[in-house]
Formats: sequence, C-alpha cells, structure tokens
Amino acid sequence: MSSTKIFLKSSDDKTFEIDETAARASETLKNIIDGGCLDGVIPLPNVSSNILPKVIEYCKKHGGDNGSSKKIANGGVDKDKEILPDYDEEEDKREKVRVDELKKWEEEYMDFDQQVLYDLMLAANYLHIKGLLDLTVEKAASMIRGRTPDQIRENFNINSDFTPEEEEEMILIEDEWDDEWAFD
Amino acid sequence: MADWSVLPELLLELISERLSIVDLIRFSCVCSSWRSMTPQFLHGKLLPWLIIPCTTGSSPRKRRSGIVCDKIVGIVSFSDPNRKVYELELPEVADRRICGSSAGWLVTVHANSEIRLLHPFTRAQIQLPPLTAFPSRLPVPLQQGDGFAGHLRDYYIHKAIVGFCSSESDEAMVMAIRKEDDRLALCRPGKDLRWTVLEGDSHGRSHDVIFYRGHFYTVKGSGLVFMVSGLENASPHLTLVCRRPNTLSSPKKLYVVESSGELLMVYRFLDSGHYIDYEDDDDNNLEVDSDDDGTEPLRLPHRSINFEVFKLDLGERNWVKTNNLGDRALFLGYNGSFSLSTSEFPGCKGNSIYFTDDYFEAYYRQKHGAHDMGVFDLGNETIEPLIHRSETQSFMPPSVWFSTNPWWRGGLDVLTF
Repeated sequence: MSSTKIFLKSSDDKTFEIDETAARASETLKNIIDGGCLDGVIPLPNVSSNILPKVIEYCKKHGGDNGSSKKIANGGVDKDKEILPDYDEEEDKREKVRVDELKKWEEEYMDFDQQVLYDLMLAANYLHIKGLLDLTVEKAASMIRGRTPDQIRENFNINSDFTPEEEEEMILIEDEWDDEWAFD
Repeated sequence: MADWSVLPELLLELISERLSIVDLIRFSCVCSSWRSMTPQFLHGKLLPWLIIPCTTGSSPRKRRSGIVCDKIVGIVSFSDPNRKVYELELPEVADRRICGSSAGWLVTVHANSEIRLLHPFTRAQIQLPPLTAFPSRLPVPLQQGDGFAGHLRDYYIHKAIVGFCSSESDEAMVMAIRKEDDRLALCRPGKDLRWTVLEGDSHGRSHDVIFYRGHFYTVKGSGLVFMVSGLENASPHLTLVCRRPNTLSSPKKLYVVESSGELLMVYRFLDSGHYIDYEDDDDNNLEVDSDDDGTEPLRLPHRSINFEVFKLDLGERNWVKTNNLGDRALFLGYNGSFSLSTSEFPGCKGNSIYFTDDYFEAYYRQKHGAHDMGVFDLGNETIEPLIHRSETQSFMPPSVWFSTNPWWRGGLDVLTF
C-alpha cells in the first residue's frame, strides 16, 4: 500500500521522510496533516536530527495504530475478551504473538542512555505520541525505583542543589531507614 | 547535555505518579526542582504513619481470615494534612499479623509460629525465635491452616516491642507481652533460640510495655508500673517504679508512654455496652460472626469514651493527674507507645491522644472490630474520628502506628530508685 510522504525538518535543518500513516502516531503531526496546512515540510524546532530518526522509527512501528501501544502499556492482552461469546482462540493466539513481538521490539528500541531518554521524552511530549511518552516515562521511573538519592543522581547525572542543612536532614532520614543495627 | 533537574513539570509529574511512596520520598531528595514536585509532608521527618493492613477489607474471605494482612497495605502519613492513603507493596506481611511496631520495626507473626521483625521501608527482615520457642505447652509443630495455629497467631502475643539490653549496650532486645499468663517474655534477635519468660512476676496482667531511657517499663492492670532490671546479667526481674494513681476510676486498658522526657500513664475507658462475648452461645441472635452478606446493621463491640493521663512525679514517687500535655500528642495501640511535639509535626493536634484499637479480646472472632480509633482531645474531652472509612467496610485487621523516630532511645540517663 502506498502512502503519502511527509517531510519533517529537525531543529538543525535536516529533513527526514515519513509515511503519512506513520506520522499519524503523533497527535501533533496528525492535527497538522488534518488541518490541511501542509506546506511540503513540517518544521520541528524542538527536535534535533539526533533524535528525530528514533522518533520516526517508533512511529513507523506504531503508525496509525494507537491501540497496540496502549495494550502494551497495560501489560498485554485485554482480559475482558475472554468472556465474549464470539471469542476466537486463533485470533487470540495471533494477538499474543504480535504483542510478544512488540514487547521484544520495544525492549531493544528502548536500549539507550539517559541523554537519549531525555531528548526522546521531550520529543514524545512535544509531538504528543502517547505510547512513546509512556515508554520513556516508565523507563525513567524504573531508573528511580529502589535506589537511594545518590544512585538516582548518578543515573540521571544530576547535581544536588540543596543547602548543607537540607542535605543533613535528608541524610538523617536515609540513615534512619538503613539503620539495621548490630543484631549479630 | 541533558539536564534532568529542569525537566518540564508535567513530565516530572508523570514520572512521580509511577513511584511508590518509598521511592517518592527518595525522589524528593534528589534536587530542589524534583522536591517541589512532591507533597510537602514527605520532606520533613517522617513520622507518624498509620499502617492499614488491609485496604480491601470488605470481601467475605478476608473477613474470615480476620487479623492477617494483605500483601499491599495502606499507609497514611499524619504529617500530611490531607491524610492521603498510599498503597505500599509489602508481600512480607501477607498472611501475617502485626503484633508490634516500634523504633521503625514491625513485629509480625504467622500461623506457622514464625515471628519476624520487618522494616516496612527497607523491607529488611530479622527472624526471631518462633511461638513454639516460648517456654510453654504449645503443640509442636503447628500446622499452617490449622484453626488452633491461627488462634495462637492472633492471641498468643498481645504486643511486642524493640529496645536494648541496657542504656550502655547496643544489643537489641524484643520484649513481648504473652497473653497466656500476661507475663513479659524476651529474646535477643539473632542470638537467642528461645524466648525467656520473666520469672517471679506475680503482679498480674501486663497491659503495656515501652522502652524508655534505656530500660523496659511495664504497666499492670492494677496500675502498678515496673521497670525490668537485671537484663545485663541475664536475671531479668521486675522492680516497682510507682504504685497506682490515687483515683477510684477503673480503666479497661492502661498504657505507659514517654513525653518530653517524663513518664506518663494513660487510662483508657471503654463503653462495652455493645460487647458480645463470642463464647456466649445462649443467644445466637446476637452472634455477629455469621456468614451473611454484610448487609445487617453494624454491631460494634466497644468504643473508647474517655482517657485520663497521669504524670510521674519522681520526687514524690506518685502520679499526678494532668489534662495539659502542651503541644504533645500521644500515639497508642499495638505500637510501642510514643509521643511527639506537634510544633515539629504540624499535621497533628497537640494535647491529644491518637489511638487505634488493641482491645483484641472484644473483637476476636467477630466480624466487626478494630474500629475503635480516634483522636481524644485532653482539654475538652472530645473524640474525633481518626480516618474516614465507609461504615460497611471492615476495619480488620487493626491499624497500627508506625514511627521512624530517631529519638526513640530517649536520654541515656537512667532512672534510679
């Protein structure tokens, strides 16, 4: 199936091509396309040429199909299906294979450092790509869970900007938790 | 370079929404812009908390299992004026009863007789000698799912708290009130294989035990307060601290608690007019532990109607009744009783007693119970509800105060008599 081509221009003036169906994964692009104000090239002053191909890669995978990314975000196949009378076992199997394949793809797709994560999250937010925003936000949350403030700062390359007094109070709180005493 | 500290608020909010309360507290300690995204009450010192062991208490199955926790508990900070109930995933408490909470540790007991210390935030656990390691006539081994084993889990230990062997020692010790004979029993975590019951205690039922200024103190049903002596040379015994207050009132429950360095005794008075004895089979119509669908009117077995507070006068060695605790708030229940200054924790009300339901005898095997929670204003003698829950929702198992009080060891100067 052929599709209309859309051209996107990054903040550093590089142009990228994307199918219209793929571009519709982005609410922002979809509105521009549907608004009919398409003038050959869509400028994206907030997305650099480093990150735009990554965004396009996601859109290609999810283009025109917002539903599938939603299912992944919810952790798999919709359970309510099982109680429908015209439930099709074969269809369900195919769906499961598709979901598993998508999960694997997302895992590989999301394998990058915090610098890319940062840019990708901002791009997903700017372009209103719900599935991609969910993925990036979840990855950031997973880099926080179960870690101490120091480890989190290291993960995100953040410098503490607290006053020494504030620092001390926080260290006290952490120590309190870690205080397991000499039980042996 | 990516600067995460200036990530748009909306995105920080999306991230923080995906974090548990424990991770949220750590999130708030990363940098000031992240901190500004988290609720204010998470920023200061972190007590007191109320742990609600079962947030889905309405299912009939849960009702029958009675007093054990879910794997997800509710947790409310009383420094939070909104009293938001957060969910805390804590599989370590699932199917266990919380029989104590002090110094940042919960004491949990299982029907298979196992007893553990659990830190709910770090989820560290420390094994204690089991119920079967009490000097007693318990059948060994206890079978899980056995009704009697469940009875022992719910009934054998009234309350257990954590302290130290002495003010000079870092050796931790757990002191439990054993229901069987209402005596104190103790063990040293990681050291003892058995519990030791305090010998020579013929002073009646222990209602409460606290760790105060380097010693354990207990109050008896008679109103006598004792200190546990001789822990350092392994011959623990009770030494009388003070006789009962000179008053005619007869409380249902008694507590001891430290407040601003002073020792207080609290009398708790219950209206037991609605109490139905579960062993009373004469009138089955009054039996509330039935297998209905929960649509019958609530019959609550008891409620707190009044409190009296006495301060220990060290010089005179007697108790002085007081109705003015200044800015202090007391926290009573299955926890090691504690107090705090409400000028440091503005979410709480001064001159007040925050209480949860530890009158287990009244609601054991009842469908409804553990509902007797509230805030007693010592000045105008009124009681306000602690948290608002729907009337049809069960309060079982009882909610428990939890503190990560850094000052819980108190002063190191020892009371001498």
